[in-house]
Order: sequence, then C-alpha cells, then structure tokens
Amino acid sequence: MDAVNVIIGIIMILSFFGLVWYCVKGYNLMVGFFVMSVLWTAFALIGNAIAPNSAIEEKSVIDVLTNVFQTGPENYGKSILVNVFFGAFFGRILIDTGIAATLIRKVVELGGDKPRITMSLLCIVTAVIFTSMTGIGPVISIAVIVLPIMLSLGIPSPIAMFSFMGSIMAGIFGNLVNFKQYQAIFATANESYTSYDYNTYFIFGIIAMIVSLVVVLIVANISMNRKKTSYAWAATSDAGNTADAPAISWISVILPVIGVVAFKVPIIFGFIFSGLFALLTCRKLKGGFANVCRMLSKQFSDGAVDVAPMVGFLLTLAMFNNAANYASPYFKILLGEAIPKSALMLCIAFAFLTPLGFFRGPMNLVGCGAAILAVVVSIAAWPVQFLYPLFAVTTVAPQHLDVTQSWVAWGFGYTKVSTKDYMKMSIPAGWIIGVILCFIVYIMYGNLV
Amino acid sequence: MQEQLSLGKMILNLLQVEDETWGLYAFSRELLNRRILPDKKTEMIANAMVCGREYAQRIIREYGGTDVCTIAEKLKLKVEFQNTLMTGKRVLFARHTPPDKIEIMEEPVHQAVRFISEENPILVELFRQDGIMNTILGHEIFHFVEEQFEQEIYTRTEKILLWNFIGFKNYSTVRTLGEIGAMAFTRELNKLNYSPFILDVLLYFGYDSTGAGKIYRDVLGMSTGRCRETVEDY
Repeated sequence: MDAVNVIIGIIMILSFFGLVWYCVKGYNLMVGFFVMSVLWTAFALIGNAIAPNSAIEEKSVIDVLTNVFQTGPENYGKSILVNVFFGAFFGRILIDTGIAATLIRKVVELGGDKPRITMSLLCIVTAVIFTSMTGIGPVISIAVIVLPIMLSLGIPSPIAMFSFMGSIMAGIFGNLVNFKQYQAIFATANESYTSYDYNTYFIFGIIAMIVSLVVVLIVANISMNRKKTSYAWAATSDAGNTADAPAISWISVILPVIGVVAFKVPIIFGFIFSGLFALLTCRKLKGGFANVCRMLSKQFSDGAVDVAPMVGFLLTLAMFNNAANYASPYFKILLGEAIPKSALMLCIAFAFLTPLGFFRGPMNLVGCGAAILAVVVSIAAWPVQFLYPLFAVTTVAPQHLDVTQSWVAWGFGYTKVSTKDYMKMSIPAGWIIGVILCFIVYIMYGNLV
Repeated sequence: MQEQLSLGKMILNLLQVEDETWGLYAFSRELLNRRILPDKKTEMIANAMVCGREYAQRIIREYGGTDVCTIAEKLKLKVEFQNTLMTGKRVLFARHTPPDKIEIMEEPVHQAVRFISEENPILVELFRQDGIMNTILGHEIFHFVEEQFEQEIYTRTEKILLWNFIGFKNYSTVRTLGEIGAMAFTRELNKLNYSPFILDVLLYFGYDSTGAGKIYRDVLGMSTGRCRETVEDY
C-alpha cells in the first residue's frame, strides 16, 4: 500500500513541476490552479480508494468535493475578499485624491537630480504606500508616475523596474490585506493558527520591510555601477501639472496600519476611516450628498475592477489550498523525513530553499506552498509566531519579485525590459532577503519552539 | 473637444516659436520645475543657450568643421542605432550613456520623414532624414561634452537649493538645462534656423498624434502664458 502512496506522491510532485512550467510560460494562473485543485483532489480520492488517506478519514467523496470547491472559496470570500475589496477602495481613493502622486513628487523634489538618492527616496515612499494599497490597478497608477521619473533621471530601465517592484515587495511585508490572505491559509492548515493577528506580526513585518528595502536598494545601486545613468532626449505628452494634495492628507497612506496597530480597529474600518479622512482633507466631500455618494460608489467599483483579475485567481487558490490538505499525507510520506524538526534547521532549510518561492513554487503560500505548509504543520507543533513569518518570507519576497506576479508581468510590457535582465537582479535579491530574514526569524522566534 | 491640426500646420506654427518659449516648454517637463521661480527660469534658459552655442563654437574651432559625424568620430564616440523605446507616454529619441556611447532611435526618424513627405515641400526640405539624424547626434554630442567639462560647464555647475535643514543644504543640478544647452549646441553646429525642440512634436507624432497635439498646445500655451505655473514658496 505504501508503494501506491509513494506513486501518488510522485505523480503529485510531477504535476507541481507541470505547474511551474505552466507559470513560466505565462499561462492563466486562475485556470492553472483550478486544474491543479481538480488533479490533486482526484489523486487523493483515487489514493484513498486504494489505501486510506488520513486526511479523508470519515469523509465521503461529496464531503471532499464540497470542502475543496465550495467551502474553500466560501471561507476565502468571507474572510479575505472583503478585505481585498476595501483595500482596493482605499487604494483608489489615494490615487484619485492625488495623495500618492503628491508624495512621489515631493520626494523627487527632496532628492533632486541625483539618481541614486532620488531612486532610494522613491523606493521608500513606494514601500510605505504599499503597506496599505493593494492590487494591480494601484500598482499601475503609481508605476506610471514613478517609472518615467526614474527613466528621466537616466536610470536604466531594468534597474528602474527592479527597484520599483522590489519596493512594492518590501511594502507588502507590512501590508494588512496580504497578512490576512496568508493568515487564512494558515488557518486552513491548522485551526489553532486562527488567533494569530496582525499586531503580533507587525514588528517582524516592519523589520522585513526595512531589510528587503535595503537589499533591493543595494542590489539596484550595485547594478547602477555597471550600467551608468544616461542622458536621454525623450518627449512625453504628460506635463504632470496636477495640483498637490494638502500636507495633512499625506498621513492617510499609513493611517490604516496605525489604526490597526495602535488602536486595534478592525481592518475594514481602518480602510473606510482612512479613505474618508483622505477625501475630507483633500476637500473631495463636496458638491452635495448625491454627488459624494456617486463618487464613493465609483471609487469602490474602480477599486473592485483593480483587483478583479486577482479575485478569480484567489478563489481557485482557496480550492487548491484545501486540495493541498488532502495531498499532504502523500507529501509527508515522500518528504516527511527530510523536513527538519528543530527551529534552527527549519530556518536554515527555508533560507536555502527561498528561491523555490519563485514561479509559485513549493515555498510559496500563493502557489504550491500550501501543500508544504500542511506537511510542515503535520510534522511538529510549530508555534504560529515562528512558522508564519518563515512562510511569509519565502512567499512575499520571491512572489512579489516574480515574473508570474501580475504587475511584474505588466511592467515588462510597459518598460520593454527583458525578463533575463530583470531576473538577474530579482532572484539574487529575493534569495538574499530570504536568507537574512530567516536568520532574523530564528533570532526573534526560535526560542518559542 | 480640441480640434486636431495636421502635422504640417502644427510644424509651420511651431517654426515661429521663440527660443525662450521652447525653454519654458522644456522646464514644464523638468522634475524640479516647481522649485524654480519664473524669473530664474528665464535667466537659466538664456544662460544655457549661450553655453550651448559657445561650446559648439569651441568644438568647431578644435575639430575644424561642423560635420557632426566627423566630430563624433574624432571624439571616439560609439554611435549605435536602435529601433525605438516607448515607455507609457514617453518616447525615447536618443541617449548618451557615459563614457562614450550614443544610441539613436531610428524608427521615430523614419516615421517623421514619412509623415512630413506628405506635407508642404518647404517642410520636406527642412526635415530631411540625414538632417534630423545630424540634429539628434549633435544633441547627444553635447552631453558628451558636458561630461568632459563637468567642473566648468554652465549646465552642470548651475544648481538650485532644494532644502536647508539646520544648516544641512541640498543643492541639485537642473537636468533640463543640459537639454536646452544641447538644443542650442546642435542648432549652432547644424546651422539650423529653427529650434530642434520642434522635433519633440515631429518625432512624437508617429506614436501618438493626439499626444503630439497636446505637446503642441503646451508649447503655444507657454508663449501666451496660459501654461505658466505657480511656483511654491520655499
């Protein structure tokens, strides 16, 4: 019977490599993850029919199908998507009020015609902005401001794109919506992990944000030693003559995080309050009640459109997460002995394997990592305060620098940068960040194990 | 709804635009535009143009001619021709990467020549392909010259104060001055009787005719004062 389980495990691993190939080819991720959910559920059910699968014990086929294809997306919608929508709504407000654009212009005026300094300042403000904003829409809205500025300073386009995407990645380490997203995956793997909240994670999130921003800037600056800044004759029809948002409104960018951390307000309330504060201080709440309602409605629907491409993917990812639970016994048979059981060894393994978070790989929770999480959780009683940051490292750093990330893929089309030039910086940077942060996780939380 | 003028009509109108207006247009694309007072901008434009012309004379004296290809050869510049590079609304025409690389985008020039061939014969004569290429090459040679004379050339030594915090001051060069100087330089070298800034509209037109119309209106707006911006108090 063990032989059957081993064969099924091997087939599942092969299907994972198929998914990696699929991602690299740039095919649709929503469809890819749906197919993987179907395959892994089917393999688990077939396997269970031959030899009992501990994850399917006392469950009928319909129970398994319900859990994967109904409960998974339902729970995800209930716990995550509402946060995603309100986060996107808030992001749209920051764009429409001109707050994000104003912050960017101000840092450029602080740095002046010094490419390295101004690039660093732009990266810092981008990272701060993306602790609250989410979705491809806001990324594009900020990118079309930041990237032309970097290019006009003579920064080579691969470096401009890498530093911009890298600073978004740094911001995501502190992002409220992303935290909830990964935390839900943890809660699926082990119900006791549900109590883990953003406030507990916050200090590590900020450290991770600073470390990754520093690494991105060092890699970008080293690359600039090789590729000199240039002087370009270029024309643009965009004169950028927009009015500045009032200084008091700028704090809106970090208000949701302050609200959640300092005042323990719920995330959605934080987004709504911060959004209204931004609109109020930018004097956008005028023109009558009906007009304001129309504006709010439009901002919400624009925000929903901004995140629409990722909603379908997130829902199929939720199916895949639940399917991964049924697949985990097979992975445990194959990989169980190889998975470290001490905090130090697990941190070393994660540091070493961080690159497997690229291409939606097995270290990436928003990829095949859900299966590995299920296996790791089943090996020992890891405290969530230790395990969550570890998986956050191998998910956030590779994922948001990766060519399979929707906005990175968009960036290639926009800047005409080749994937090769970009990956020469993104993969080493992602790995270095992973190594440093896994070490920090051990220092901060290793004693909890 | 703005009426879209033909390319020929726009170019004919732009041929009448004064150098200071082109300078103000260049400043409208400058990242530090809001930090410079209008009077200072006017002074800077005049100085950058004088600088460009003077260095053109110096190069002509030193290299004994005005042929930009020969000058580029004597300066040991590596001139490469690329296709095009458009990033969003930004179209790149050429760039100089120190120490000695110049890249010229051919596609915008080919497109411009094709469009202009359907216009007034005077324009066809003014904007021949080799002429446009020489204008662009001359412009990029100026950036090379700037690098060589970095410590003394006006376009690199003129700086503005960005901030002063308890005695710590941050000064910055103004990138647009290099562009204005480069235009004056190539105009002198190629003996042009129009501002090379006009190529911004002509070369952009093939990629985005509406955007070219917007640049055209921005330039004319500068001459009438409609597009002048308020400058921050600092």
